[in-house]
Amino acid sequence: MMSLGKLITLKTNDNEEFKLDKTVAVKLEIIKNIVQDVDCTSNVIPLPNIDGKTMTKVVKYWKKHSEEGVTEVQLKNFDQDFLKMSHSELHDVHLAAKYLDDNQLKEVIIQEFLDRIKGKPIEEIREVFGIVNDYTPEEEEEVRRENAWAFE
Amino acid sequence: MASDSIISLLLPDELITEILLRLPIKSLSKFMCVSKSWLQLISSPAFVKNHIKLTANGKGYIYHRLIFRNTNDDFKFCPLPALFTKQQLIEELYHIDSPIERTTLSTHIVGSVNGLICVAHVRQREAYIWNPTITKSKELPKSTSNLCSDGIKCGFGYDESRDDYKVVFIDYPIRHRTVVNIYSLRTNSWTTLHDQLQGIFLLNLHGRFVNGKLYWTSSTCINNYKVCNITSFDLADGTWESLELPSCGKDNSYINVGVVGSDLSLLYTCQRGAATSDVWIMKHSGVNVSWTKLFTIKYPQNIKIHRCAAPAFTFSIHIHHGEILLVLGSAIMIYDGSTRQLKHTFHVNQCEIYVESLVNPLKISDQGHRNQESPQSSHS
Repeated sequence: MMSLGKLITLKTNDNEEFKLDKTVAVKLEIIKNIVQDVDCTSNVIPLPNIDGKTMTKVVKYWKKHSEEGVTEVQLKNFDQDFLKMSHSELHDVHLAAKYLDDNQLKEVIIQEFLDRIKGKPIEEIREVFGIVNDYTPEEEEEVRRENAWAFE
Repeated sequence: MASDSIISLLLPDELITEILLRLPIKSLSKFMCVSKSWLQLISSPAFVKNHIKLTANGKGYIYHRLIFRNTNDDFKFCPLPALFTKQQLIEELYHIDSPIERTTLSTHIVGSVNGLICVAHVRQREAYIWNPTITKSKELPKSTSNLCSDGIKCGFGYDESRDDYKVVFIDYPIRHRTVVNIYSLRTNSWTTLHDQLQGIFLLNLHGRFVNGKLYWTSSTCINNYKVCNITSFDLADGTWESLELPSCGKDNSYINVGVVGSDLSLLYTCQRGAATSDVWIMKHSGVNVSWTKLFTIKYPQNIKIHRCAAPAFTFSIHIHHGEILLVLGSAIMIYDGSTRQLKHTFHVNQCEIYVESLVNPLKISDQGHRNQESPQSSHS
């Protein structure tokens, strides 16, 4: 168990509180700066850009990845499970990671998006990203011809 | 996994950009067909530039290629990582259609920057700026000045201040008189300068492009091949400068200019045909420059190094997982980084290393658009 007094409380924009070991929390640039800048006697750090639902995921990720003695395989399995979420949820976690300046988590999310589109044909890419094809058939044909080498 | 309804999953452009930036050129070229906004995003100058930054610094040179002229006079490329690991390249070689219809012995690969390669047929005054990855090329208009002498030197590089690509030809039509022709891809036009480079004779055929400048070894008069200086041409402001050689106490050395990673460097060989060369790199510290000896490399016995180390050639060194790849003239040598033992060698005709990029040489030149809009207008 972590010792008392080393805990930092993160408070989301919907007033959910997350207690975190300080040694975990100060790994994040933004928390480190707040801890240094503000007199944190209350130990409560507000996160105005993140909601409770997203923060639950982020904290789950942090806890697993800072677990003592955790193996590579365990982390791989955890990540696989962790990333089973919708695009919009992934997007929310990405925004949170960006706000918290957590490059590792950001990279994990981007990689998941890349895996979701890897090797897919154009039609499926549109589906994945909810993009409406605004080309006329002639226009699309022309862009395809311009980049014919990529379809070989 | 929750299944998103189509409307809810429109991701912001910022995230789409971050995702797309990590994709290779082939996927991106395909994805231009997804929608007009994706086409616009992927071909925007900012995206192209950021993508180059990521690929050029990519781990393990996975986006780097070695291009060379095949014996049948067409072009082949080989992924750079394969050079480090493979003893034989046959299975790693890919054919590329050349923009020049008939390549001959006098077809030169002048240089490469940001995924673009300049190939020139100097005698026929034919030159192309070519992106072999996306198979797009731009033929340079013929320059009005006469390029005919044997001593002609050329170079290809990038002027970041104008986001412009430039080809430079330096000709010595009359002894001690120079004609410098500079082609700008952005304006699609040539500029001619006379009587530059008084008392300076450039030695290597192709200037080595490093950080905005083209570099040559130089002597003090025509047909003198003893290196006295390094001469650079700044592609942004068009000025020539001289750099002193590092003092290493060896007066009769043969010197080649080149690049290690992204640093200007020199190869010192104490005599032609010597079995070793010293590699020096130039470091900037504030306004001062200093030369540092990096390491010594030993040549294999079977290599005709006296031909490779001729003043006409430049070199480049790439370091990957502690292994050293040296391209010098037509020889490619791979060394173990710690023991400096030679691992294997390849021989190819004229070669150049380039990185995969989206830069489309046909889109840089804005002359066409300008003429259509208003013939007189000129952008500052």
